[in-house]
Amino acid sequence: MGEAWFYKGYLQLITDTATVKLENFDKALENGFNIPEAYYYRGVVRFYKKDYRGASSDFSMAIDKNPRYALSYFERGKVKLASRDYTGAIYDFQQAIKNDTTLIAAYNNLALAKIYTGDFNGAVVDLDRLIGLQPKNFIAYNNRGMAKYSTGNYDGALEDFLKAIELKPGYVQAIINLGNAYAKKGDHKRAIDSYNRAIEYNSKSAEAFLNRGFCRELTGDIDEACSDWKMALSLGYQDAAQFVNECK
Amino acid sequence: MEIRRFLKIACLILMIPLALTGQEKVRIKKIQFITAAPGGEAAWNAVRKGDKLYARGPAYYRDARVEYLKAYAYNDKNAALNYKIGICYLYADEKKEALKYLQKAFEINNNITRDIHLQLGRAYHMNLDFDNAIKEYRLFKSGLTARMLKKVPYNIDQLIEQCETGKQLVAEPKRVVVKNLGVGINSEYDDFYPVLTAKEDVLFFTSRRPSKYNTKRNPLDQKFSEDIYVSKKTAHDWTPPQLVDKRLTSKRNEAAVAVSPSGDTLYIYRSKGNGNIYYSIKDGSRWSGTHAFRRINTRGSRETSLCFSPDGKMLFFVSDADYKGAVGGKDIYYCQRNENGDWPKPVDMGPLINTPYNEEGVSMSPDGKTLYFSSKGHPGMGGYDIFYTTRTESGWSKPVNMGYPINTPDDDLFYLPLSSGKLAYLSSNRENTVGGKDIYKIIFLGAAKEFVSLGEASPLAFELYDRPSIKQVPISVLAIDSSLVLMGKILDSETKKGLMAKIQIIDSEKSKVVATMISDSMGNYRTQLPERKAFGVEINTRGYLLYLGVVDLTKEKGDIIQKDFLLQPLAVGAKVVLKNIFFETGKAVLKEESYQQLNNVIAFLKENPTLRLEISGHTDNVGGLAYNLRLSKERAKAVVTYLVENGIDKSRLTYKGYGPHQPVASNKTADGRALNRRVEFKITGM
Repeated sequence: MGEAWFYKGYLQLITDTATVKLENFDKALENGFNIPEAYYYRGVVRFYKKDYRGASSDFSMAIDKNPRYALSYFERGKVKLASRDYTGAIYDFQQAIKNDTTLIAAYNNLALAKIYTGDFNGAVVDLDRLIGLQPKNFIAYNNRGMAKYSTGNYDGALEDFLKAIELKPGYVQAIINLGNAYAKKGDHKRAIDSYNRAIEYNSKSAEAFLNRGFCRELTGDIDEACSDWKMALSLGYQDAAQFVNECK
Repeated sequence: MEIRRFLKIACLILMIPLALTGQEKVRIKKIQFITAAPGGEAAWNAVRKGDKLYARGPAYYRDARVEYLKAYAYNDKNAALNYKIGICYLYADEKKEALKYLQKAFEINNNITRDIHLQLGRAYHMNLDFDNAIKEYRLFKSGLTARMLKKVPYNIDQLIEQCETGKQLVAEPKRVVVKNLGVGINSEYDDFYPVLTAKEDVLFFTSRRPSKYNTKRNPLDQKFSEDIYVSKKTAHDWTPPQLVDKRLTSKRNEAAVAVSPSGDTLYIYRSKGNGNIYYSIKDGSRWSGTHAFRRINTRGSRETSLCFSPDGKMLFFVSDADYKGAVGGKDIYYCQRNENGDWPKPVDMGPLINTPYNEEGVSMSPDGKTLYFSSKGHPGMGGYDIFYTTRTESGWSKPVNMGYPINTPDDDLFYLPLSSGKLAYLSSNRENTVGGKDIYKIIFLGAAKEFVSLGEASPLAFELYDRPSIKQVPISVLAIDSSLVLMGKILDSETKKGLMAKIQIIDSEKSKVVATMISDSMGNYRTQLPERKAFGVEINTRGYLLYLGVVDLTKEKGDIIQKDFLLQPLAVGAKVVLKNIFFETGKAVLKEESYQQLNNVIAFLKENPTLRLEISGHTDNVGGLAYNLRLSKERAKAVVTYLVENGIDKSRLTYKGYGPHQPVASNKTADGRALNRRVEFKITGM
């Protein structure tokens, strides 16, 4: 009986995550079908529903039952990342990789956890490995660019952002990051061109307007900068209010 | 007599050090330009023209440089030519360009002149390369005796100190943008000393551009004399500058230094006498003749700058007069208006503000709390730097350097703060000059801002990676209390690689799905079944032909039945028999129990939107040929009609009736004839 509930929940999960019911896995476990996967999938549903504590507990149970359960480490790492337990996340992603070296998502998320702790060089190493496994992974290039940007290696960051955009031309995040890198190098013209391009792809990108405003301020075009900050604020970027206040 | 002549033509400030600005004689030899190669003669002529201009002094360096660069295009390996081009940059404008020519001159001939290390030091200094500048200054100094050093117009130790200060200032730049006011105001000649009315809508400034009243060059520096120009603010810019008034224009130097808040009194530096402050009163649209500001002018001395406190009760001015308490050079003095409205005797601002070197260009903030001035004596990064001092209870605070990039290694003067507190003007010779000294706008930026990256802080940023997990265990759905288990693998028919696929087990008699499974990534599936009978099996996964088959459990032994299924990769010509399609006897009318399988065909076509199919009807050989051909065609058409009615574009579908012509089994047996009566689809395009 428990197995049937498990399968029912599982099928829901892969067909429509949004409507999946937790009770399928609850009943599977209540009815004795307590295989690691039952905890794992219930954890997945709980994470989806932002019940981080419950999800973490389920992934831990799955790991207790199968200490080599790479995906449970991976998912628990994500929960920790979302809960800002970056050190814990790093441990879990490392365990995930240790148990499944092909789990590329773990390299990426490990790198992000390291970025949050300020270990940018460590993040670059993880993303190097990811890119070695998946040379066309545009997100990995973007993330590595961000890590390099954080170390002040703006040339390296530029190279990565350009590669990410080459692999995915409408990748707004990378286009904005490219603008940021140009701005840091003092190339305000290219930076503004990049933000303009990002706005062409997504006219509601508050970040593109905000950053274009920063760049225009640095070129002395204060009125235009203020106009951009007001736009970012109107698009919901509340932190822009402080910059709009500077315009008064 | 000579001294009097000098004083009569004295400019407001001397913009260029007059000695050692390439005064060492360096000769470019003709033999290096007249060669067999074409262009040599023209290059030599350019050298000769350049030399004539060079000899006339710094005011002609920009013109000399044009000629020298023509020669340089012919021969870039001449040390003397490189040196002279370097000097022409270093003591005119685009000073940073000097470095590469001086470096090259030194590389070609490390003994090109005695002052090469000094000039290299100056060039590094202008390029903000303070460490190398210090090295060169020390090399220069080490090659001179104390007596020779006294003749050098620079204080080498002070230059080194400026480099040390420069390093600190450049390391912590101020958040400002420095913008040239542009060709609308600035010219290729020196333009400086901006002065604004209280409303900040009228700009007076001084220019050394020629005009119909100003056609002769000052013999001291070979520049045109100083005249006052005026421009009015428009919505976005300034009107083209005009000479302020013919009556304020003479062969002497005139420079606007202050204007009354109402804008009707203009204070002017004139080079009459030693150089003093005068004023002119506006009457309608005209300015009166000039009147000496007697209280601050002193016989035998030179007054060059003036400003008032906003309430008009104090004035500050710059003079080289030898008042009691004078610190040295030009100092800043102040006067406090007395109860009678008169200005009593000026007072030196003292050694906290004044230095033994020159101070220049006083101005006051609109709130009267801050005094700005330029100084060559306070710790700066080179030339005049701008400083500020604030009013305290006991006097004035210790002056503070305004920092980089407001200040540069060159002269930075005549700082003028605007009422908003966010803008100021100054005069300087720096990058982006229109020519010589220009007027620049300083824009003070708000707090430092960090560029924002998208998604960096959100786990959603890596959503793409979130679903590697949903393919781990083989599953089946529907609670069936049975010990009869069907299990096996779903495999690629060619590579035998396991496939993840959706599997449905159908009870065709009841037209009901009895089990749905997803195989794992190795292709494994497993399910329980309610009874031992023949079930329809439908398997679907992306990139493979829809599998429609039958698993007959009545022919299997044991409760655990192993059955593998092979899926064909999609390919033109691949065929599938629709085994669970039923028609009313002798008619082309679909029975309801056919819909389950046809719906799976629809789903398959929607998942593979580029596929085109031919639907074909087939019969056994019982009955007349014409009848069988017509019936098979109409049955195929009925299938197509159902698919089209349920959302499949009819352009993707064709149908055909083959009658008995394409049997798949013998028509001699009932089982064979049953197999031959069928509907198929065939992929005709992808």
